[in-house]
Amino acid sequence: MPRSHRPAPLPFAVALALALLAPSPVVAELPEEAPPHHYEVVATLDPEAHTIVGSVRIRFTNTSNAPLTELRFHLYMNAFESDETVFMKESRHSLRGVEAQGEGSIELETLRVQDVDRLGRADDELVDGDRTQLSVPLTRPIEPGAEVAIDATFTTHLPPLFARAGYFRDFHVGAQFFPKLAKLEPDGSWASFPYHGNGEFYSDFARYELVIDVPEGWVVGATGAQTSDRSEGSRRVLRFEQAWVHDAVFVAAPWFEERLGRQGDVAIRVLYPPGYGSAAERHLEVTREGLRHFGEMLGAYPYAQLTVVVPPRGAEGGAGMEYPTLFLTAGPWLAMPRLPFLAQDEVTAHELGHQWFQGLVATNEVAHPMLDEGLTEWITGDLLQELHGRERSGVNLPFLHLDGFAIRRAWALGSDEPTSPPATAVPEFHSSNDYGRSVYGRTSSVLETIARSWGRERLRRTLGDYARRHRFDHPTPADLYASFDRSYGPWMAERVLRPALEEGELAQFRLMRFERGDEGARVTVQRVGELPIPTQLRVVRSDGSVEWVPLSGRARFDGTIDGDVRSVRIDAARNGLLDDNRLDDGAGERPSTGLLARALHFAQSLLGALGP
Amino acid sequence: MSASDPPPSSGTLSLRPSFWPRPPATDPGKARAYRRSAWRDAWEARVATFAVHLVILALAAWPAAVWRATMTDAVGPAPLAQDVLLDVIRMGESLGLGGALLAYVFAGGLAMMLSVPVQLAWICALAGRDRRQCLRLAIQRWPRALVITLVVGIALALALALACLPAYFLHTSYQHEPNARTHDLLVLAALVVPLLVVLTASAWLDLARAACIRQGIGESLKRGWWALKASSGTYTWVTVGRFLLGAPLLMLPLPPVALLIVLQTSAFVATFLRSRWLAEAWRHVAAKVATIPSGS
Repeated sequence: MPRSHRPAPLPFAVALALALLAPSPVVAELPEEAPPHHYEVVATLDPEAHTIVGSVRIRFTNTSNAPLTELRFHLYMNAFESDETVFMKESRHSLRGVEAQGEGSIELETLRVQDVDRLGRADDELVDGDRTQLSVPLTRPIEPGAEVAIDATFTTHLPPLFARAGYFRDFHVGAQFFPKLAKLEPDGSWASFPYHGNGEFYSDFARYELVIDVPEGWVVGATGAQTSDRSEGSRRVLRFEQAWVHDAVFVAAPWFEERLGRQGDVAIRVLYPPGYGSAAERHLEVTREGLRHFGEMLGAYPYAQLTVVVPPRGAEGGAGMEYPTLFLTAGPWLAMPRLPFLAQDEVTAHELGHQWFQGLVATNEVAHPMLDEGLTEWITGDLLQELHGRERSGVNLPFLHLDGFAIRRAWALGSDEPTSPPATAVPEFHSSNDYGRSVYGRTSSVLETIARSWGRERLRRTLGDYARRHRFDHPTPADLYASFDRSYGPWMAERVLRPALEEGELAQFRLMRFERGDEGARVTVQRVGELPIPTQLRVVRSDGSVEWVPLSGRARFDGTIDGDVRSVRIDAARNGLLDDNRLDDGAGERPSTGLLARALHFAQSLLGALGP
Repeated sequence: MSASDPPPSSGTLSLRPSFWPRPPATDPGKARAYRRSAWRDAWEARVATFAVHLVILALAAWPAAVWRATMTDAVGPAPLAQDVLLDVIRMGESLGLGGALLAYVFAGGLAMMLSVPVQLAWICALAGRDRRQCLRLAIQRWPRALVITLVVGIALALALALACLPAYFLHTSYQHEPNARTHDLLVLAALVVPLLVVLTASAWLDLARAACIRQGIGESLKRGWWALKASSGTYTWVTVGRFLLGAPLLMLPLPPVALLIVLQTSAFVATFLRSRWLAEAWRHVAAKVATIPSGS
C-alpha cells in the first residue's frame, strides 16, 4: 500500500507574503449602477428577402444639464439607399476595396414618445440627399434627469455586404439596423452626424437586450451573453443581454461552426465557416493572448462574453469590424491551415484592441479618429511584437521577416500626396488613403517612436492610466495629453504629441557632413522638424570598435569624433519611425560582401533557369 | 493502318494519335546504364561545364553589381531582412532601382539569346566531341534548335490551355461551397496538372535539342518525346535539386565571406547537376538511333 505524504503546511507568514507578492488576477467588473439608457430590440430575420422586421423600446434618461426639445436618431442603413448619401459620396461606392453591389435602407413605420406618435413631425433629411439622421421635435421638453419611453417599429432592408452590415448569400450581419439615439452631450446638444465612410461610433452607454428570431437550425452570435434560446415552430428565438455597452449587433448563418475557450473569467466563442477550423483555433489563441496583454496594460475586459466571428470568403466587406463584445475578424481567405503570414493575427488583435479603444473608452470616432483607430493600431503592433518579436511582427516567413511598425512607417510616410495630421476629423481627410495613412500609420508610428525612445513599459503605463481613468467615459485628445504629461512631464504634450498629432511634425535626421582627417572625423547631423526625439549616432572605427554617441533631442550636432572613424550612421537601431528618409543617415560604410554574395546568387539562379 | 504498323494491343487505351509513330521499346537495363554513364560523361566534361558556369556568372555579375551598388549607396551594408527593404522599395525611383531592374532584364534577355548555342555546345562536349567541333556544331544547329523551341512552345501553350480546364471547372463548380477548404484543396490539386505539363515540356525541349545535334527537326521532336518516359525521373530530381540550391539558400545566416563561398559552390553544383541531366538526355536520344524501327 503506497504511503501518502501530506505536504507540510507553509508557515503562515511565508504564505501571506507569497500571496501578496503573487500577481493579482486581472479581473474587472461593470459599474454597479445601471446605465442611464435601456434598449430592447426585437428583430426577425427573413434570410430570403434579407430584411429585418423589428421593434425597439428605448427607456431614455436626459443625462444632460438642459431640457431637451428634440430627439436625434441615427438611421444608418439609409446610407445605402441611393448614390446621394454622404456615405456613398465619401466612399465613392467602395469601402476598403469592396465595391457596393446593391441598396439597403431602414423604413420607420411608427415612432411614439411617451405613447404619442411623433413620426409625422420628424425631419429625416438633415443633409440633402442623406436620410441617416432623424430629428424628432418634442412638444413638451424632457427635463434633466427625466426618463421617457420611446417605441418604434421598423423594417430594415440589408444591403449586399460591402460596408460592415448586410448579407453575403446566407451570411447576415445585422449592424446599425435599428433606430438608435445619437450621443447626448452634457450641454444638451446632440452629437449627431451622418453615416460617414470612415468612422461610425459615438453613442451613450446603455443596457441592450436583443431578441433575435431566425429560422430553426441557424446559429446566431450577438452582443452580450445569451440568456435564452427557444424554438417557436420553424423559428429559433434567442435573447442576448448586456449592460454598459454603446451598441448591439448580431450575425447569423446556417452553417456556423463554433469553438469555445476561456481567458480568466471571459468566455470566448469563435464562430467560423466550415473548413476554417485551424484559422478559428489561431484566432482563439490570439484573442486569449490579447485579453491577457491588453487587460494588463489597459485594465481588464469587464464583460463575461466575447464573440469572435470569422466571416466566409466573399464577405470581405464585413471583415475586420469591431462592436462591443463581438468582432468580425478576417480569413485567411485561402482556407489552409497555419499560413506563416500575420494578417489574420493582426486583424484579430486590432479588432480585439477596439474593445478598449472605443468599446470601453468611448471617444467620438468621427471627430477624433486617432483616439480610436490610432491608439488601437499601436496596441495591435505592441501585441504582435509580444507574440512574434519585434523583427518578425509584420512578416514572419522562413526567409523574410519584417518589423510590423516598419511596415506602418512605410505606409504612413510613403506617399508623395500631402498627409493630413492624425488629429484631423474624419470628414476633413482628402481621401480614404489619407485617412488610413494618417490615423492608423502616423499615430502608431508616433507612439512607437515614443516607446522605443523613452521606454515601452512607460508608454504602456501611460495608455493604461488614460484607459482606466476614462473607462465608460467619452474622453477627448486633451485627456490623452494629460495622461502623457502626468507620466513624462508637462513638456510631452506640448513638445511632442501636439506637434506630431495635430500638426503632422516629423523628426527627420540628416548627416550633413562626414569628413575624415588625421585628428578624427568632422560630423554634422541636422534634425529637420520640431520633435525633440532622442537618437544615437553609431560610430565604427577602423579597428572594428563601435561607439554610440547620444544625440539627445538636439536639433544639430556638429563636432569631431576622435580616432580613425570608418563609418557613421544615425539611429542604426531604427528606433525613430518619424524620419521619412533614412537614406541620408549614414556614410563611410563598406560595401557588403554578404549583399554581393546574395545578389550574385539570386542572379545566377534566375539566369540559370532562363539560360542553358 | 499501314502494313508496318504493329497490331493494336487488345485491352489497352492509348491516347496516341494515329499519325504519331509508335515509340520503340525501351530496355530498362540500358536506361540504367545510361544513368551510370551520365555521371562519367558529366565529370569528363567538367571543363566545359565550368565554362558554362562562367558564362552565367559573367551575365549575373552585371545586374548583381548594379543592385549591390544601389543598395549600398542607399542604406549601407544592412541585412536584407530588415525594414531597409521597405525604404528601398518606397524610394526605388530616386535610388536608381529602375537601372538595376533594367540590368536584370537585359542580362536575362542575353542569357535567353545565348542559351541555345551554349546548350548545344555543352551537350556536344558532354557527348565527348572536341571543343572546336562543338562550337561549329552549335552555330550550325542554332536555327534548327530555335524552330524546335518554337514548336515545343506552341505545344506547351496548347497543352497548358487544356491542362488548366480541370482547375477552372472545379473552381466554378465549388466556389459557392460553404466549406472553402474543399474548393481550395480541389483547385490546388488540379493545378498539379499544368505544373506537370510545364515540367514535361521543359524536359522534352532539352531532349529534342540534344537530338537535333544529329537529327532533323521532326526526328528530334519524336526522339525527345520518346525518351521522356525513361528520363523523367532524372529530370525531376535534378530540377528539385537545382531549386533547393537556389533561392532557399539566399537567407543563410553566415558571415559574408563564408556565405560567398557557400553560395558560389552551390551555384556550381547546380550547374553540374544540369550537366548530369543533359549528359543522360544525350545518351537517351542518341541511343534511339539504333533502335528506331525501320518502318516508322
